[in-house]
Amino acid sequence: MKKFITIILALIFFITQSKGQTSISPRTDQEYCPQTDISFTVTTPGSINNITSYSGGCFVVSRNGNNFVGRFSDANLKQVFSVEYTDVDNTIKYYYPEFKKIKSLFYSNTSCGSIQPNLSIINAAGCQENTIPISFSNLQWHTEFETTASCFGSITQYEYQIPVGWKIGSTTCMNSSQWIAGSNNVNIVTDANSGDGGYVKIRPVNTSCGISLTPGYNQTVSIPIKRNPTFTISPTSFQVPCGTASTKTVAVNLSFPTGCSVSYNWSLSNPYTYTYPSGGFVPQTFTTTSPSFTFSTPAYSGVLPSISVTPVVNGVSQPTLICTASRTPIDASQYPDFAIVGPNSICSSENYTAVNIPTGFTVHWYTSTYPYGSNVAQINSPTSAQTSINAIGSGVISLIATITNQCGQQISITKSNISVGGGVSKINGYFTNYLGQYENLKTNYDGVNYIKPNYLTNVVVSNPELASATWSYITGGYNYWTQYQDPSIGTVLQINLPITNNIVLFRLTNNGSCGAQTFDFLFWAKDAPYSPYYSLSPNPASEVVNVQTSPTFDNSSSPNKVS
Amino acid sequence: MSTRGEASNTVIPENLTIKLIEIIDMTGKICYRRDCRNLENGSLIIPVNNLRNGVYLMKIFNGQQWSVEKIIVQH
Repeated sequence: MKKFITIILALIFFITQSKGQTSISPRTDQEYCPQTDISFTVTTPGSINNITSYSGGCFVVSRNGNNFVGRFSDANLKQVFSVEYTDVDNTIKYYYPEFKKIKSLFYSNTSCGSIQPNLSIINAAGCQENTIPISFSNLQWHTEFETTASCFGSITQYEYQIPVGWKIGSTTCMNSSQWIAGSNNVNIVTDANSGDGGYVKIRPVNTSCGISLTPGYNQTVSIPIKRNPTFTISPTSFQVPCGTASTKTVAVNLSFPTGCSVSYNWSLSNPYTYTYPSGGFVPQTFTTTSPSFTFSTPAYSGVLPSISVTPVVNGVSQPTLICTASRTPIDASQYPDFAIVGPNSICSSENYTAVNIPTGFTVHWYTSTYPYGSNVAQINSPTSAQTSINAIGSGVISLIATITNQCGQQISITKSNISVGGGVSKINGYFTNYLGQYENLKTNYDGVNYIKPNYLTNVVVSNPELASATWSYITGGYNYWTQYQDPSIGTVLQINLPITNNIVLFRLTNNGSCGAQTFDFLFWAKDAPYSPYYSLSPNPASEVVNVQTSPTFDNSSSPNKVS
Repeated sequence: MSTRGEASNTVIPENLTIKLIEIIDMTGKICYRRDCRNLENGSLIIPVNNLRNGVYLMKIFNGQQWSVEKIIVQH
């Protein structure tokens, strides 16, 4: 047993010694140029029988005993030789030296970094030469197809593609496909004007290993070039309150300086409004070499002109820039005390006063226009703070007081639901259909009320200032009608009309604050009165009536009045 | 109130179809009747100067159904 253990230990020692005696010089962890002859010396325990390429594209150029000349392919991947030798125990063995640090750019991989230049865009002033320093951190070499990122060393050689006529150092670019050698820190010198819209391209190379090696195509970065600045205007708009004279400056800003001659053609949408701070009106158009323009706004003009400016670079007009000007808007909330004081009804004549009119404002009175306005109410002093209004008909109007400041800005306040000459009478109606559901009375554009034939329809008067209401039958056919007083909803007209496309006229007599008024309502027995509809104007008419389609169908309450 | 100027400038919308117009008084008598089948686009103006003051109904037939509008004549 003891002898057996001794043999095993001797065998392990022998194997270990045999492995430890294989080596190659230069070592596998050094960096190597591809496509370059390299002299290696292999050390093995026994005699070497053969040395060949094993993988990765390397090959043996020549061999002399333990020495051979090898060459790595232009591919940054693991490249392996195979060394066959006869060991001291007379067995054939193999030794595989692996080389991973091949300085090739055949395969690209951002895991070992990418070119990140100090400039993302090159803004090079036109009409002059510019020196543009470009710098970035060196990339690392890498080995492709390794399970973990295998980065090593440092790439120090790069190539630049620049516009024709530009220079790097003393080398001037002569054609657009030329690449100029450089490091990771170069100064690019532009010419006077070319290159706008083009690019500066940078890629890594390994020309120190040979001029025909693959450059880092896929690691090329492009930096866009701009020779002409972008013009912007500041501010793009401004507002000035009415009553305030203000000094303003409008300036044109350049995204980067230019060496070109620049002039500015200014234009105002209206002349003779702005003045120079030193006096005198600013003309409608003028030209400056300064990129800014200072002026004073008037205190009370209604319109503030907009300002446009067209930069002209070396005689070439650039896009026009506009600064809009306006008065600071006003609204009624700024003048909460401004109000209309007066009664809610006009039987014959009443006074209305616009109170707390802001200083400098003028007032103008208006009435609503439809359906009731100047046809029922007459404003006697439309531009006075206090006006009397006469009732010349009956209806419900809105009274509008509009105040205007010195700049023409207006605010209006409205007093609504003013009953004039007894007002109007409105009706709502409903019937119960065969499903037991309520359906509303339908009313068309000109106040004809549609009644479903043979259904008992209830018509309710809805007039807020009504003291009493009485219906009377005037003309037309009916099956049945009556009226009664409902304590909660007032006078109710019940009608049932025959199916014969029948029309019936009822008259409503109201007793309100202005006395008795009569209103005529038409009811038309019709099943489907929904389409089409027409409007008639004028109505009432004296000589002609114009027929138009009606814009809406009103199935709500029905104002109606017949004089 | 004169609105004749407005009326003469009114253009009838293309989708307005009017085949026949009748104006009837409250007794059911037809006071005016106009065949509009050859009506070209333009103002459709109905004279009412021969009608007496009062309430009338203007019945408009579009070829499929009738609509009725109330018109008040007031000289």
